[in-house]
Order: sequence, then C-alpha cells, then structure tokens
Amino acid sequence: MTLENNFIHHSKEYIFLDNETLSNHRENTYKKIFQKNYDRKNNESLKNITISDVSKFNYFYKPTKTNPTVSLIDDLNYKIKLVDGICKNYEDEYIEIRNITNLDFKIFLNQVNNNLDDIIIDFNKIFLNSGIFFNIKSDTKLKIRLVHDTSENFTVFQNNFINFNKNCEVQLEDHFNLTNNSINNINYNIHVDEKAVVKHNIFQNFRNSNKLYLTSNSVCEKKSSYHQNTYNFSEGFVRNFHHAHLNGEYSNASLKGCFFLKNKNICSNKTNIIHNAVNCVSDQTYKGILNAHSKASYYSNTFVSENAQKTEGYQLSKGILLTDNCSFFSKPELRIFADDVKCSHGSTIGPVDESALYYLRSRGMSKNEAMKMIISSFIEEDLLNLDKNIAKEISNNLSDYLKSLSND
Amino acid sequence: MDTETTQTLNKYVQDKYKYGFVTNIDSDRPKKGLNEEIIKFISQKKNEPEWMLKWRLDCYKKWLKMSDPQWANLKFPEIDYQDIYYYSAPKGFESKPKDLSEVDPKLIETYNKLGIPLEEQKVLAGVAVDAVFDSVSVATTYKGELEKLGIVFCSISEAVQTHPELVKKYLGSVIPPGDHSFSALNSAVFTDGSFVYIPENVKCPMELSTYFRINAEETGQFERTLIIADKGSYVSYLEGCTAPQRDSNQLHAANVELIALENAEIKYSTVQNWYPGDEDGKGGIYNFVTKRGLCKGNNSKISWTQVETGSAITWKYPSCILKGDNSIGEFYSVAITNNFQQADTGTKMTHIGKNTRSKIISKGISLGNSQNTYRGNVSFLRKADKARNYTQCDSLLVGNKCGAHTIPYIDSKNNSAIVEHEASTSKINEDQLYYCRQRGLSHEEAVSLIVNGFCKQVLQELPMEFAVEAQKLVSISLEGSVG
Repeated sequence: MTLENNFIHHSKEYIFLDNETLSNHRENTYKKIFQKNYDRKNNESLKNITISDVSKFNYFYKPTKTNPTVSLIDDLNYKIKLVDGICKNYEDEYIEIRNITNLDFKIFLNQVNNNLDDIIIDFNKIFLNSGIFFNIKSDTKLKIRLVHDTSENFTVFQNNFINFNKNCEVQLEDHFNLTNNSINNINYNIHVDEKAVVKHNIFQNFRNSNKLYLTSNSVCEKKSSYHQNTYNFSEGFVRNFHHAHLNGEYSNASLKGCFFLKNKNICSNKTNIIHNAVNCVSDQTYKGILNAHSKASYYSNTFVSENAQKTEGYQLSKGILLTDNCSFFSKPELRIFADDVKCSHGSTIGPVDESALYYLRSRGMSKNEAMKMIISSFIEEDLLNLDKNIAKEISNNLSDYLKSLSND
Repeated sequence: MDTETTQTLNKYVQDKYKYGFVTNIDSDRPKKGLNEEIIKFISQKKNEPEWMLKWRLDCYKKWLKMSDPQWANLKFPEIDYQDIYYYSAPKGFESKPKDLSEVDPKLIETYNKLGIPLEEQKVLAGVAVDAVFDSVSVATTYKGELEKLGIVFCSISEAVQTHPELVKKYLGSVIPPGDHSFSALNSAVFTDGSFVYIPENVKCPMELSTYFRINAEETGQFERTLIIADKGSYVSYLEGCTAPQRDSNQLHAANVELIALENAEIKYSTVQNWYPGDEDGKGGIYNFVTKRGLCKGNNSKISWTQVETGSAITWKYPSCILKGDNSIGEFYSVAITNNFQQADTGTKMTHIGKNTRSKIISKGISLGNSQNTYRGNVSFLRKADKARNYTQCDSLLVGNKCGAHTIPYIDSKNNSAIVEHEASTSKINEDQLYYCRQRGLSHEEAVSLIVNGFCKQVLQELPMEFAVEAQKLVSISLEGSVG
C-alpha cells in the first residue's frame, strides 16, 4: 500500500489523535515526505534503502490475545516481554513500567530532537502506535531482559522512554523475537541521570522477512556512563542509528557494535556522539564481516561543542570483506569546535589478513578452520568484559554464522 | 589557555597580508555580467576557432540549468554571477611582447614584489615561468629550450591555435563540463591558463611554473590548465597564486586537468596564497577550484601537493582517477586557516584498475575564528583487485574559537582491496612546547617549530624552490622565525 493510503486509512488508529498540536505536526511531516521536501541526495537516513521501499508497506496493527508479562527470574533480575510494543503495567520498589497514553503528549513535544532529516523517525512520528515508559528507580542494581515479540505481518511504530535514575547500576538486554513479515520502527529515548551506570546490550537475530529500524537517543548527566553494544546476526534488514549526548561533566558514553552479514543482507549503521560538557570521554566502534552479496554502511560522528574542553573522543570502524560481491561504506566524521581535545578516528576495510591465514595454515589448519579462527578473534576483545550468559549467546550465534560460511 | 599563547596568537592575527598591493594598469574589459555575448566576446578576443566557441556555449547552456554544489561545510553569501567581470586584460596586450624587455616595467615590478623576478629566475635557471596576469599570459619564458625537447608549454589560448587536435581530444575529458556548476562555468568563460604537453619518453628537465595573480577589482579569474604526459614521460609543475588586497570578494573558479598515459608521471605542486580577507573577515578570494587527474595508462602516477594559506573560502578537492593498472595517486596537503577563513578541502581517489595505490596525507591547522574541514573520498570499484589506500589526516587547533572537521567517505566494493584511514585532532602538545621552551626558544619560535614539524611530511614533497616559499608562508601565517 502506498504512503497516502496508509495515512488516510489508518490515521484514526494511532495514539495521540485527540491532540491538535501533534496531529498538525503529523500532518506536516507527512506532507514533507509526500511532497519530497527533504534532502534526497545525501540523506544519511536513507543509505542502502530507497524511499519507495520505506513508504510502501501494509499498515497492520491491532490488539492481540497474547499477554505481555513482567517476571522475576531471580532476585533483581527481571524479564519483561513486550507484545507488539505493548507492555504490562507494573510497579514495585525498583522499577516502574507502563504503556504511554494519550495524556503523555507533552513529553513528545519536549523530546530531544537530533534526528532532523531522518525519514525513518518521521515515519515513526506519523504512524506511532505504541510506546512504553520505563523508570528505573535510584540506587538500584538490576539486570533487565527486554524481549520484543512481534506477530506476523505487524507494523510496529514504537516510541519508548527509559529513565535511569541517580546512582542506579543496570544491565539492560534487548532481544528481538520477530515472527514473519513484520516492520519494527523503534525509537528509544534514554535518560541517564547523575552517577548512573548503564550497560545496554542489543541482540538482533531474526529471519529474512522482518525489518528492524532501531534508533536511540541517550542523554548522559554528570558522572554517568552509558555503554551500548549491538550484535547483529540478522538475516533481515537492520538499521541501527544511535545518538548520545554528553551533557554533564565527567560523563562517558560508548556506542559499539558488530554485524555479521551473509547472502543479500543489508545493514545500515550510524553513531553520533555530541560532547556538550567538559572532561567527557566517548568511544564509537563498529566491526563487520560481510559475505556473499551483503552490503553495509557505517556513519560515525563526533561533535565537540565550543565549551567541551578536555574531551576525549575515539572512533574505529573495521570491515572484513569475504567475497568480491559485498561492499562496505564508511564515513567517520569529526566536527570539533574546542581546542583542548584528543580526538581520533581510524577506519579499515580489507580482506582477511593473508599472513595470518598463512601462519595458521602452515601450522596444519585447514583453510576453513583458519578463517573461522581469524574471524572469531576479530570480535574476541568485545566479548571480554561481558556477562557470561551474554558472551555464550554471542559465541553460539557466531558459530552458527561461521557454519554458514563453510556451506557457501 | 595561558596568556602567552594568547599573545602569540594575537601576534599572528595582526600580521598583515604582504602581497596586498594593486598595480595600476589600464584594464581593457567588457561590461559586467554573464551572457552569450560575453562568451562570444571572450572567444573573439582570443581569436578562437568555431568549435571552441560552440563548446563554450554548450557549457554555458549546461551551467544555466545547474545550481551550486551544497555539500561543503562553508558559509558565504550567494554569488551574484551577473556582478562579475568575466574578462580583463591589461591594455596594449593584443600583440604579445616577444621578450621580457618589452613588458611593462610596472608589471615586472609587480612580479619582483611577489618574489618571482623573471629575469633573476632566468639567470638562476631551472624554472620556466608562465606568468598569468589577470587573463592574458604575459610572457612565457624558457619556451625555446623546451621546444628543442618537443615539450609544448604555452598558454591554453595559444594551444587552441597551435595544437587544436590535442585540446579537442583532452579538454573536458577528465572534468566533464556537466560535472558540477563551477566546472560548467569555467568551461564556458575560461580566459587563460597553461597548456603542457610532454612527448613520449621525455623527462622534462626543469620545473614548469605558473604564477596567477588577480589584479583588477571584481574580476573572476577562470583559468584552465591542461597537462598531458605522454607515454614514459615526466613533468613537475608548480603553481602559485596571490591577489591584491581589496574589500570586495573576488571569485576564482579554475579547472585543472591532468592526463598521465602509460608509465608517465605528473607532479603538481601548488602554493596558494590568495588574499584571505582582513581580520574581520571582510573581502578576500572565493576559491572554487576543480582539480582532477586521470591515470589513464598502466603504471602511471599523479601526485598533488598543496599548501593552502590564503583565500576567504577554499573549496578544492584535487582528485585522482586511477584507471590504469598499477597506477599511483598521491595527495599531500597543508591547509592553514586564520581569522575568518573557511577551508573545505581534501581529495577523491577513485580506484578502477588493478593494483592501484593511493596515499593521502593531509594536515590542517586552524587559528583565530576559522573553520577547517578535510573532506575525502576513497572508493574501490569492483575490478580494483589488490588496490590499496592509506589516509592520514591530522588537525591542529590553536585557540578555542576555531573549528577542525574531518569528513572522510570510504567505500569498498572489492574484497582484496585494503583501505586504512586514521585521523587525529588535538591542540599543540604542552609537553613539546615545554621541551622547546626549556631549551631556550621563545614561545613563538617554539610554536612555529612545532607547526613546521607537523607539516614536514607534506612540505618535503614540494620541489626545492617551492619548499622554501612554502615554509615562509607557513611562518607568515604563524609569524615565526623559521627559514
């Protein structure tokens, strides 16, 4: 179905319908896309996808029978299951979680907006049909596992707000359990309050027919830290766009990711860190292995504003191309307006190191084995500081991926 | 920042543009504005054949349909193309002087002030100068000696007359006029520039050199340079630029095309010192230059070296298209911006052939309120087996009002190709400063020494004659005591 049909036929199903300001805002955004009134040539949000791909879809969303759950696996270890973007409203002494309602429109008007010219976020605004508020109370130490279940053919446009209060220490995991043919356009607004420490691990492993557009905007206050890791083993299309604002001094943020592509997979990545305060540290690292006809892009950006002195900002992107038919595009960008900074970026794209391969083969390993060893060592350093369960899950996924290599 | 650095900084900022004198010579120029009439006028003045005029008019039609490229990180008022003189020649130049003694002594003096005394250089030997004064090539020295080797070194308008087949074949072959609006504009109204042809297996024994200087007010200078190195040949070409100090902005939109055939090598060095505008950012040159080299044959090599210290706005991306197998592209750049200067410069390396290699070394230094951007594109196409690129771009920030930006684009479609990119941005290292000061250098000397060391990798790529000038320029921008 075309964008126009979707907009006209389904516009009554979205939330915040009764609010005039938001309705107008939606209408304008829709018009912008419909009249092609945006930067069409160098639009980073449309890298590797075309506007017709994005705008032609069958909007489908209705309440489902399966119930979302919140359960305690053991003490201070939560498992929260979202079904089609809907959660179970729940509160205890550590956390509070609820669905957004029509009364929450104010927060939408005030949200951090650095997604100008991001067409995917525009779509999220127009078709918004779900979202959660998640509040982690201060001085808690928790593990949370967030599972996103999406039913067949569903189109989920979700806007989530997560608030990590002072001094909390949280390990958050995102899992995507998508069935078939679903479109998931998910936007996270993350607020990390003073001295909070957050580790956010995101696993993406689903079938070919699904699409996931994941965007996050994090804001870090004084002495807080936010570390995000994405692991993309999906066969379907994935777009990972993550932004972090370092607004409080002595805060730090890292946005890291690995992706493993095969067949005709396409993956689009972007990270963006904005330094607004002194003495902050940031790190952006993405690594990718590309096989067969796969295609990936990675934009990274470090922005250091005038008053963000004593900044340290690092970027690294590494790509390994296994065949002649895959391609990787990277654009590591630095924009610096302060002088007392240490910023760097490095980027490499190439085949598997010949001499490393030779070394292993000369010690009696088969070519296949040697390749596997080199590829696993490529992400080894990222697994070192991880929780045991997570590391195990990643290495399982990795060995599946390596198996698929030898079948080619 | 400590007070001493601020003081040193202020000293740099106060340093005036030394080449800002105006030579009062009557100019012969038509009305302002751009239209078909002007193009016909230029073509007629140059006595051009019919095909050349047709080519110009075609380009003009293309330009009419285009808008200026928007990708650069620059802020400037929209250029009014109807408010510019497109042709300006000192009067009495219709018949060219045969040797230097016939040239207006005032002009010679101008060159002397610039530090390129033609006479002296003739005696010193080694450099042949094709000096471009506004739009007409004043005198081409050393032509005779080059002719013996079969080398053609003349102005482009002369080449249209004498070597039409070469011009016809190669003009616009590397930079298609429809590439972007500045290339179309230049193709339509180019007035002068150099033409170089090096025959097969000839190593040009001396460095060829040209000096551009914009004199008349509100004139755009649109020069066009075409260098063709035939099989197995070698040439090193130097280009220097200055302009007088005026309050109004001047436009400079040059096109430079290089073609290297099999086993040929071209080395192109630029020292650009256009008037950058005053301390408040008033006036100065808008420099929109398209430079592109094509390594057409196997084993060919093109090397760009540039030192950019001037211009209110620099928009310049000397590029290499590595088409021949085993061809090499190199780019070395130092860009210094001060006051309200803005520079958006870098390179584009397109790897098409097998085993092609490219190397990019870029050093940016920002002072005052300036903005300095490196923008580079490295792409490996499907057939570029075993291609290789190494990129290093470092930025140095002096003062907290300036900005340094690095925007590389890296695209690989070949799995045997290797690309490596690294960049860093920092201020002058306190430890290094301390070390120098401890050994008795003044703060200013120390800064100058460190900056020169920072640029060394690029400066050493320049030919001897230029290296000295470039070092001086770096020091002028920093008011140092080097050299």
